[in-house]
Amino acid sequence: MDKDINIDNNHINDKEECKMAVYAIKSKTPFITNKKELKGKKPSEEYLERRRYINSHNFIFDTDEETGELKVIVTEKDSAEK
Amino acid sequence: MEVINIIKYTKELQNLADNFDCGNKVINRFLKQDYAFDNNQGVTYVMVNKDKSRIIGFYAIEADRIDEIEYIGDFKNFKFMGGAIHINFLALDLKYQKHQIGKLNNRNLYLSDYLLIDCENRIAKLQSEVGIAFITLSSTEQGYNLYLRNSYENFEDDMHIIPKDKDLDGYKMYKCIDDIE
Repeated sequence: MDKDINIDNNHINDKEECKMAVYAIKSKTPFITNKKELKGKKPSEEYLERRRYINSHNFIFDTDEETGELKVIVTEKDSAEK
Repeated sequence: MEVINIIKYTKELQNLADNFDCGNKVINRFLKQDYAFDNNQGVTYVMVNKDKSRIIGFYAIEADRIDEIEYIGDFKNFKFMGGAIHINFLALDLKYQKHQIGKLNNRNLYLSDYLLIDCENRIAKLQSEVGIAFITLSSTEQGYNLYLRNSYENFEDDMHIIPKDKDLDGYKMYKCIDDIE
């Protein structure tokens, strides 16, 4: 039987659920800082390369109807698309 | 021709949510409820396969802000620092988590990177329309490396309030929009 799970305005109220496999959840508290200014660090070159690569290529995600297995086809965008 | 894999989630796609399982019952249920279509709560985008018969992953975003706390005598004043878009949820189906979609300079490129960068692109387009300075999110433990790898910073270093329970509020992280090329 499913254990009781609370959902309050999409916030997760169950610790065990929260630990499971998702990458981001809705924040319960506001973003408040003592600082006068938030200056981000310079993004890493690795990240920028990843962005450039993803934005300069088309990705087609095809899945097997039965197994759901994912096949990814990657092609470079032509200059008009970039 | 540009390939569109990530589309706005609508009622017509809701039947696909029955087969989506990110391993988290609450998040799975989110896609099955009207919350997911309520623009007052945010906007949800789903990554679908080629024939739009399966949800591979999704993210949901909403307007947010970052405030600076000022002390004026005994009073606290919350001063607006900048507009933000908060990534409410970002999840992949269990089948596709840690799925590699290629290699770049001998480093793995993951499906989660693709989903996150698409989300960032969408947010960056909004900047000139509504004025946004930051992307904010609360990362789960599983997502933490994804965001670090993609140049997010820990907000806690700059935070006024430290949440007592990270399990419930995740790891607060942010990125300055101007850092996106």
